[in-house]
Amino acid sequence: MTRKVGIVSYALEGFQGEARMSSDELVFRAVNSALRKAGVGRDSIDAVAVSSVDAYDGITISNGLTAPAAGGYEKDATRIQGGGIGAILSAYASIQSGSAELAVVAGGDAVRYDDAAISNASYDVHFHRGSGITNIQSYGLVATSLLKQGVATEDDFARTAAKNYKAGTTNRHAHITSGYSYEDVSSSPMVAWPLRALEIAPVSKGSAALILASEKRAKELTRNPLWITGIAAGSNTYAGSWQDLLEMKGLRKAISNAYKSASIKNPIADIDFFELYTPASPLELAYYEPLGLCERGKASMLLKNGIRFSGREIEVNPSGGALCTNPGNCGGVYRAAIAMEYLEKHDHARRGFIQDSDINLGFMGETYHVMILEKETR
Amino acid sequence: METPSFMSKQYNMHLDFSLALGASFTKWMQALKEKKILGNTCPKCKRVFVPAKPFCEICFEELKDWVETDGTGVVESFTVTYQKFRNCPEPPYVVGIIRIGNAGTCMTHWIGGLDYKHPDEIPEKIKIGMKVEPVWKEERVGDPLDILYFKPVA
Ligand SMILES: [Zn+2]
Repeated sequence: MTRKVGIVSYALEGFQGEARMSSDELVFRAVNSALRKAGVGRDSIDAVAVSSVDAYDGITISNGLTAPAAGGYEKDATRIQGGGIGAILSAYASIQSGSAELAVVAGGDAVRYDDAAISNASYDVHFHRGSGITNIQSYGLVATSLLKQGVATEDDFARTAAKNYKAGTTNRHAHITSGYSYEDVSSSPMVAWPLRALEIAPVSKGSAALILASEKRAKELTRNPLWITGIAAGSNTYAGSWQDLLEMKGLRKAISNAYKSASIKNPIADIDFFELYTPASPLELAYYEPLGLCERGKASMLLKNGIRFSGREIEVNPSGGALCTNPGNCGGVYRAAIAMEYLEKHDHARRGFIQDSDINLGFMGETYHVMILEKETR
Repeated sequence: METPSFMSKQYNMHLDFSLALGASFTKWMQALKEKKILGNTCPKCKRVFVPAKPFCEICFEELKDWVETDGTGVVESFTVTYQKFRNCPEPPYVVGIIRIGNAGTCMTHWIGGLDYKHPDEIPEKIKIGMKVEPVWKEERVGDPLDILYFKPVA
């Protein structure tokens, strides 16, 4: 029998500028604040899942510091590398199995590093690392294929970025709030053709924490729990064809499993907003079709017309997405918290879709995670 | 003296590693010394892997049969880098996804042999589906960088 798992509290710390403290202090602050909001202490926690990439923390076992900072002392503490929704999935599984009633998920980004150099070091050393590839070139390679397939134009890449920047101006947690226009984006320097500087996400510093609870605990702690009604993962090949990579079968599998679990037949009718991990603007256009938002090859038209159902707009990245806020360790946890805030603020919104992946380190052998968060039906 | 609100600690890491390449990768790398690009084949799906791979990720079978390609390939995608990245070449350079022979997989390598005098025009000079061939180094050690770059087939 499956148990219901809810999220009862969240907290976000930082993101606006440079970090002024270490990762563990940032994690402590977010977790402490999320626990206080939920009205529970560290003693009540059964499990802790921390999301981090060692290289982003400049240390070879980052959770040594951050698991205790997330309340992990004497607890079932796990560290997941590869996106925050992976850590949420780990905590979700602890609650599903009955081994935990209350779990913390957290991550923090503090250390300043060379993002592209860390990405280059994520590629295999025998075939790829010497070829001058980083996450940015990998996004550029995918973008070139989108142009060739007629999915989108260079103009669409700039318009998608501008749409995200505009949304970011209304997000009080966002790192980039300058609202860059289409003109700003399309005149920004070319970095890796066809990608321009303002079509690529920055690196953001901050921390995020969530408190997950079993149905019983969730109902004790809050009148408005949000339920995880779908959560799934899927990986792609590393040594596959270029077509395999573009087809994103891992993402498609994760989406179909999550939709099935949340009984979603028509995503446009059944989901109110999408928070996607799109560290380069063309990726948003690449994800529209696998998400079921448009037919193959129609992303450009969808961008132009917007997504509407029964007279309301279905927003993609209402937070401004990764172009506005892109913390490498806690990204998925941040997006889940942002989605909770969106559901709290918008009465009409019932269900949000959150997507995550480890493509912050670049494409190839990528793993995708997706989650559906839903309000209690009254 | 005023106490700053926070300090920062600067540091770096330099670590040495050694990776054993195994029989498949070793055979593939050794052939490069002879200006040969080999592939190995999945017994189940019959896909050819270039570069070689010890196993098929999809069928989960060991790859044992070898084929020799003529070294030519087609460009599946490319990106033109205009910015300097650490541990990467001086810009501009072109990273290409190249499918060798009838391979079912791809190699990542540079596309060169182009006129780089007008960097803005590089993207127009490369076409997806364009046929390319390897330009070899004089001194080869058994490494993908024994190929200087792939150039358009005249
Ligand atoms: Zn196979």
